[in-house]
Amino acid sequence: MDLHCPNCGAPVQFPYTGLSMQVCGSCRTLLRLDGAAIQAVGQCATLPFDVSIFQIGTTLNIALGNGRHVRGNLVGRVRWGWDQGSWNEWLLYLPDGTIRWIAEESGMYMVMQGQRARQAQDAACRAMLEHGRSALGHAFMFNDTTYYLSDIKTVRCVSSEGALDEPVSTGYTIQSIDFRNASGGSLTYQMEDDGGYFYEGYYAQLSELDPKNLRGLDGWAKPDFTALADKKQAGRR
Amino acid sequence: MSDTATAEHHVPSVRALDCPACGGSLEIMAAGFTTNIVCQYCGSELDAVDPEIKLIARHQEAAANLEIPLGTRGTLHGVEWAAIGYLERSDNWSGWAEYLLFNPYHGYRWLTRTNAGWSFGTPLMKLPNGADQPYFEFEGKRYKTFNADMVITTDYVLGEFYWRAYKGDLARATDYVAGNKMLSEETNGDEISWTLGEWVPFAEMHQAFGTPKNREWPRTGAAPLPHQPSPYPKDLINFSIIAFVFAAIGLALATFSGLPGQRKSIDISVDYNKPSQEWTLGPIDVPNREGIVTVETAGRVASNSYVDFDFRLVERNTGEQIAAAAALERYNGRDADGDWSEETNDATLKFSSVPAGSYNLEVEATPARDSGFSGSAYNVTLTAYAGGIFLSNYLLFLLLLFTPVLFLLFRHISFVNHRHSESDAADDD
Repeated sequence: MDLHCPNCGAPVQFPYTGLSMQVCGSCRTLLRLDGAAIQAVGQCATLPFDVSIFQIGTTLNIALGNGRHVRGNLVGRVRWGWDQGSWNEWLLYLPDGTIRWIAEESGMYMVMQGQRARQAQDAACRAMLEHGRSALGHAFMFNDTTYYLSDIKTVRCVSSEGALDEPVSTGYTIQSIDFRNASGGSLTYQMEDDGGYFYEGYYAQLSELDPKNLRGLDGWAKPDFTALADKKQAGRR
Repeated sequence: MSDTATAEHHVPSVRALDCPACGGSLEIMAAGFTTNIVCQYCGSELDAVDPEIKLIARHQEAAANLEIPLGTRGTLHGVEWAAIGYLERSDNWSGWAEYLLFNPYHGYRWLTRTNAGWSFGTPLMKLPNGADQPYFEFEGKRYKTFNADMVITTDYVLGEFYWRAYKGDLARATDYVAGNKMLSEETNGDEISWTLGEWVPFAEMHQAFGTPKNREWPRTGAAPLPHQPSPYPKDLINFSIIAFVFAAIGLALATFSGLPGQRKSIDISVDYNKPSQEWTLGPIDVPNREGIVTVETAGRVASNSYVDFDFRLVERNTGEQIAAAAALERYNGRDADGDWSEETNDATLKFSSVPAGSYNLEVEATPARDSGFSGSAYNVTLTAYAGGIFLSNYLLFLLLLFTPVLFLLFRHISFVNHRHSESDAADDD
């Protein structure tokens, strides 16, 4: 079945099961596939130029937490902004159809997995939002881990591209709380339209993600992580 | 999806723009991350949070002359970095400069320049564990507070930053040190950031960024950086090993070549009623080209008297002679402080550089008595043998050997003391 953008008529595809949103590559309308019908649900601005080293088509290898790793594809991105900056979150589509978000901020990478907040936790986080920045440093237990509140801010979607799971287009605004723990773990709470969500994740070095098909940038050498891995091995011997 | 095509494709890595204040052409190196720019030409502050660059404050000031001009690239630890931002900061005691480095594939780093030298800082993703105060633990190392709660002012800003850097910005900082690593904790408003620093020698910086190849401490005229490793331990260890090896060799040689020969000994009876008496001891053989002959004189002489011993070492064939003397004495009495006594009951004498040969030792004893003397004859044992080492020579040899070791040790201690002198804890211990 050939699908077309209801706004500009360009052909569109929804190749990823479970990802019912797609930003039209031509007119940047955010489209939702509903059965066989395509609906325009938002509009995305032109993404401002950045020196992100990721692009749609980059693949990353992530840890699943049980010692196993899986390689996924970056198929979409949301660029978030707040009053003091902006960053990218890339949607990593895994072979089993589940997704992760990869936040890219100041050369650091956070691999996050989303889950709906249970009622008590949601209430606790809403209370912290009420307190605002005075809640900074507060401890918060999540999945048997103690996190500390590190940032509270209102974030707004600058623009999106590619395939998405939720209708996030330019102007979409939510409140967000960032937590961190001592062992490099992160937790983000977002109060979305349909309730609270937690995104639990861990900071990773780029080398740990073993990236393939990174975006090339003029005048910069792409890192050679295979050489790095060999060196580490040699050092251990 | 054509993976190979996109892999080869490169996009521009700089965003060019004109300064809205002076029109100067600027290049943003970290587009998408940079939120704040201070124009290199006019010093105006620009807001780059949104794609549309906004003027925050217009200035008209010439840019400072930087050791690393912004835009300069250099390779440290195998990664190429571009210097994109520059800060001058100070606390109550001193000022220093900080360069922000960027590589899109590796993120941000810091180069801190103080009078003492350079430090390379990596922002931390993991928070150090502060459960065991006053220590902080990070990657298996225990960091001790070096300077706590310094108030840091930003005095000058140039280039691009991923946060709002501005003149007059205040931060609180604490440094923790473990060996050649330093953890710096900085609190700015609500933000707490941690940086792991390591010292970079001037020579390495010169190679990477073309900065002046200054001489290291003590030529810097400033205390070493808190995490600057002492340059002396390596030499200290090497020189110590050399010194100990040579000391052992010297001892072995001296012992071996000066191995005592057969001991010849006689007990003599010094008769105080005779002006002098003579004895002969021998033969004493000196086998090597040149050797030592040791003569030991031991015995308790009469009260308030002394006995002079004149020794002649006479070669039995050639008659060649070497002379030496020794004395034994004993005095006692009573004065205002009570009884006193002073005696020499043994004397060791060494004939040095004795040519090889067979010798007799001729001994002449001359007693001398003072008033209060009593008695007549006293026994003295004379012993003579070839060999024995000159302890004083060996000690001199040791001193020469260990002088560089002591010098390096002194330098090392001095370095460590100077390094510690800038610490809060310097007064505690």
